[in-house]
Amino acid sequence: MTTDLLLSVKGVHKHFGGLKALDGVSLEVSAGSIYGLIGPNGSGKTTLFNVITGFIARDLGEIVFQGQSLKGLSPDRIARLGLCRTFQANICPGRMTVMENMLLAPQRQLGESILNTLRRFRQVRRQEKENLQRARYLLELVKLGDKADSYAAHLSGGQKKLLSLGQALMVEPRLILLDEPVAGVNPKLIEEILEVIRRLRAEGQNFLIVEHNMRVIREVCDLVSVLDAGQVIAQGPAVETLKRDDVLRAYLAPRGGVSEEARAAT
Amino acid sequence: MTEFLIYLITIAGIWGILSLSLNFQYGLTGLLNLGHVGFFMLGAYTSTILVVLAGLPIIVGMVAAVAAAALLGMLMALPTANLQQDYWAISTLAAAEIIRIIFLNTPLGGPYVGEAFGVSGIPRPLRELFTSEGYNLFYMWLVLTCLVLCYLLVVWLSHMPFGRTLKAIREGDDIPLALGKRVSSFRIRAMMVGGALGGFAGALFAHYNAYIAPEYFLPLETFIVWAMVILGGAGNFLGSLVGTFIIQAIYNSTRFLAGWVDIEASVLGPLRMIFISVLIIAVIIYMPKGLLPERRRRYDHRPTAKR
Ligand SMILES: Nc1ncnc2c1ncn2[C@@H]1O[C@H](COP(=O)(O)OP(=O)(O)O)[C@@H](O)[C@H]1O
Ligand SMILES: [Mg+2]
Repeated sequence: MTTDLLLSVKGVHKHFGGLKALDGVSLEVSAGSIYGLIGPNGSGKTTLFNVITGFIARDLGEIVFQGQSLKGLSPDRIARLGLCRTFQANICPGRMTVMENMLLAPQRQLGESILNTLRRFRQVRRQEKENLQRARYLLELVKLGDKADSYAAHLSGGQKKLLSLGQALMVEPRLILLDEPVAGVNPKLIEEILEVIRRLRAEGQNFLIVEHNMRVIREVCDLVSVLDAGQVIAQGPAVETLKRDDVLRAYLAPRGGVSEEARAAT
Repeated sequence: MTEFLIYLITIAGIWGILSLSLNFQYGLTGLLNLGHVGFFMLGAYTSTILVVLAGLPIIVGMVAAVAAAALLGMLMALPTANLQQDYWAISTLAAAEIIRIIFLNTPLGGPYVGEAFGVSGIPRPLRELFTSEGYNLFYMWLVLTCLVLCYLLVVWLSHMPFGRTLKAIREGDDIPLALGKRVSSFRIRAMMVGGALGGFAGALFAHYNAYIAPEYFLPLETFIVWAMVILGGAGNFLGSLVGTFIIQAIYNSTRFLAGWVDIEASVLGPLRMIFISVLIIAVIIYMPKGLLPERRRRYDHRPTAKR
């Protein structure tokens, strides 16, 4: 079991002034599974992603990825270790085309060195060709095949989410953290994306997914953690955990009633 | 008339290199560099000092000018890691002024050399091979050749993965960081490339004009280069060249206008700056992308037929 432990988060705290955004969060993500993280708005999910990926410093706690502590590492360094995240907000560079966005992502690009672009041009060009092929394949996969030359700014909200997913896949990381990957995506497309995620899992890709949509979590995740006000209130196999009363109450109480979504989830 | 045209093309060529380099930093990378004249000045002074005062060959002076300006670019880029963009912009303005004030207060060798007097008698490369008219024509072609090489360099780099990452950084650090890019290293290198070209332009200017003084390198020069980039189109290198030519033509038009219209030269000077300012305001309002907007990089060359 310990051998395929990918990511371990232990007792992580993060306070913003008096607000306890993360109040002792622990979870473990193992290889070969899709891990879900749910919780009401403001429960600290995005903050946890920011802390894991080095975008904000934690106050307390330990985060270990593939046996290496991430303490004090910069976000780009963490990404290069094979831990890639997407953002909840759509912030892909809008003045670049979809294809340019995709080609940005691959690691160890020779052509990022000025000297190499002059001295090792043939290798640079070969690498670029390979990346282009892979980008075309992945764009088809995330249903953006006909958008390659569109500016990212011109995509719909849902399409931008799909572009982020495609970008993360171009990185070929060991673990992908997706922050609400299907928010704003139309229901028919969601179905197709879930299919893609399941397929990628079968090919060995690991995910940690934050999602609001309970159905999505139930359908693709093996394990879940439920976050509420910065604390993990439940953890375990997805289907059973999402049926628990305390989970539903935490999830629904702020809205004061049982919604359609909750009925569907139970 | 031809003499004037040769002068105009030479000057526009030198400033063209400046605006290409600012466009590389601002148009491509989004760096609000308000101290671009600093590179130009450092390049001009470095080559001048090495050639006039140390007696080194002109080519050595020019190479050193490029290296010194690249180093300055690196130094100027260091605070980007800690400062917000607008504060960093002010730091670049300050850096260029500090360099100018240092040259303004430093005597260089003998009496009446350096400080506000500047340096005169800067040698011109291969001068002995030409008559004086022939030489101006030669220098014009020299500058144009350099301009073409600089143009090819920036276009080349902007099409490489290096330039693509710069383009992403232009819209914020988060995505490049999440994709594992060492953002500050990219910004430093963008400032170094732009700085090196700016220093090169400075050396070309010093050895053309044969005289330099601190008053040539006021912050106004930076804003004229900005006007060229904005008019031509940020992110389009051909646009920079078009913008440069138009602004230089306006800037140098007073020589003509003085003969044609009944306005005193002392009024015409400020008038042309007003004209350039109004032009830039109009461009920002009505053509925010400039005369030649940035071009879309296309990868999908498949015919319109079905995939
Ligand atoms: N940079 C920040 N500064 C101050 N408060 C923040 C910051 N980021 C998040 N918060 C607060 O932390 C809490 C958790 O936010 P977040 O992690 O975005 O929740 P979630 O993603 O689960 O909706 C919220 O109350 C939010 O307002
Ligand atoms: Mg969130």
